[in-house]
Amino acid sequence: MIFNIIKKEVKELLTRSTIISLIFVSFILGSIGNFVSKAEEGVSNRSANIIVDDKDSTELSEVFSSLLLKFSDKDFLEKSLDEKIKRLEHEGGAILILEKGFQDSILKGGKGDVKIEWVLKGIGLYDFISSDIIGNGLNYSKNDLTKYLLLKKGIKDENILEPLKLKNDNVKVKGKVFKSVDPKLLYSFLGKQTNFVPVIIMMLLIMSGGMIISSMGMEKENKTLETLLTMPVERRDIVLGKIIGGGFVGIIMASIYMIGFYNYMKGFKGFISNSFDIKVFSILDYTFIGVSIFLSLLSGLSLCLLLGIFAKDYKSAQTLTMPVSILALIPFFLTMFKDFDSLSLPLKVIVFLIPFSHPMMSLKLIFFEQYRMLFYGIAYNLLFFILLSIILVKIFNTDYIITGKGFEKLFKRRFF
Amino acid sequence: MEVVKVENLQKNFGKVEALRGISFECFKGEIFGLIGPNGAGKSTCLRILSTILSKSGGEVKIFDYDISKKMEIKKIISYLPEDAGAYKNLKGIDYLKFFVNFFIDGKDREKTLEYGIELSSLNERLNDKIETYSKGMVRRLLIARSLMVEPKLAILDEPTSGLDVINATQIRDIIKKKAKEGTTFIVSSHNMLEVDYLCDRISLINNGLIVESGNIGKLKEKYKAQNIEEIFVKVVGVKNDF
Repeated sequence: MIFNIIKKEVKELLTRSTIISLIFVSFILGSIGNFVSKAEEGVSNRSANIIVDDKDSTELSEVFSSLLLKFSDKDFLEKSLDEKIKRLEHEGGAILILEKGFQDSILKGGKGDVKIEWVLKGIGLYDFISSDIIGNGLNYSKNDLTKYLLLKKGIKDENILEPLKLKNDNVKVKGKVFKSVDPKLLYSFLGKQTNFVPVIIMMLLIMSGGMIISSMGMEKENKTLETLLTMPVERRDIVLGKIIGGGFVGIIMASIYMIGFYNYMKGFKGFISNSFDIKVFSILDYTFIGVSIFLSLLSGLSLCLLLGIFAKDYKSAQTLTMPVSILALIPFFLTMFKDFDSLSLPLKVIVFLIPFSHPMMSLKLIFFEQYRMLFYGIAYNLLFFILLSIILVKIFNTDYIITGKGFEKLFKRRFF
Repeated sequence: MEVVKVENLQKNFGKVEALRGISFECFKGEIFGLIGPNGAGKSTCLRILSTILSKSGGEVKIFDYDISKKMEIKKIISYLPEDAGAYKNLKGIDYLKFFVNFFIDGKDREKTLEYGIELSSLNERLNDKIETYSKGMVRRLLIARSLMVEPKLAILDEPTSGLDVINATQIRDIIKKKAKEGTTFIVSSHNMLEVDYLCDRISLINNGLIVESGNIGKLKEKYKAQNIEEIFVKVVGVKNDF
């Protein structure tokens, strides 16, 4: 009987239009990732539209000018001045004016004047890429000019510019030692590995949780719940059928969404992916993570079904997804900005009590071999799900499920 | 043969007394009408008989099963709520299949489903999503769902409410036909003409109490009334203190 209910829930929730809209969102996300990745390629190409107007025409100004033009787009350099200006106005870039007296000033111990006229394509994030490239080019050229000047003064030792050699030896975190690693690099690596799971949990909860709440609202509005309750099936099976059916659909929807999200994230992968690669997680570890996610999802869906009971109709059901989303956002942000161990005791308690926290923390816990905490989380989620299911079945056995009255009888009835 | 026996049935919602001790009985193959205005307690009574709501007091027996034996009762009854809808995202055929699966096992499933398809008269429209159906089509689907499993007792709350004459007549004819085949019906309605056409016996309910019961013909004679509406007005008018 329970499979009949699960099948119905899946058929009802997983409609063609829902799948199409999800695939569309997934595609859009992937495209954004692609766009980001192309933009990053633009940065790594390190070329921009640069015009150097050398008004000094001296040895030093010519050296500096040639250094700067190494960062200019090759295509751009071959154009005539008029074409360059046209392209500059269209694509953005900069005109660097080396003022008269540039060399004299430097040789007399002063500073050479360089006036920069920026032309920005727009004010979006990627419109600033060319200005970043030009900024970097200026810094490199400045360094090379300094080396050139030192050389002219007979100082051959370039190390004078960077006399210190910094070496990251060990990073010790939670008793675990990482050798020859920059802490920032370690953070990026961990972030890359662990930020995925919280996003999956969020997606799963928001999608399947919202669906289960809406489904309850629709059941009440259409009085289909009344019909269902007169079927020769235990009310416990109706509750479980709804949770499992909603969970199944949620997993499918989240998977479609995650494909898009994966492509989106690919766009943000930086140098980190090649420079620091430690294989940390075993199949058993991933099994633990899977169990943690699954139990958290069941807990979340039970909570959503409980909220759905209070919905009078489809419309009122829509507003009830908000508390669950907020509940999922708390551990999402807290574990993103702070480590569980570094939270204050009240916050630790709050985070622990929220069933969605545990899978969000699971990867970090495994990484630092804090298995005890991981198992506590799994046990808590199992307990949470069982308790909530008992409460749900009790409510389903009262008149409250139909009339919205008689809640007091909840504690006068047997459990199953 | 007595199919339903209700004695001194009471139902309270907090301080509100929805049913204040009603009694009636129904017999096999009979169409029994529970008649009354909105808020009289008809739907509450039917929901208790359908095992959805619990009773606050009194006795209810359906085919000799006490109402507490919910699972046994659910196997032999069928309930159609007032103004009920269906799962809009399902196709009509999937809706019927879903409910057949609760009652029938194995090869009888196909037979029952075919009967449901026939009862609904929706033909190829059954392959469309329910959200595309008119109100009359949905109601026909729901009636088919209620009756295809051959329940011993069908409890129908306002079976034709909101339907046009043609759809309503079709549904009434189905009910009449099934009653002749031995299904017992308890029908609630405030459409007195429908009750007059459908029911063998009726109980008039007002403010949670049954104010009159009996054979329609005999009640018309007793109250010298042309129709049930007149009977109702006379009964409620006489017993206005209820």
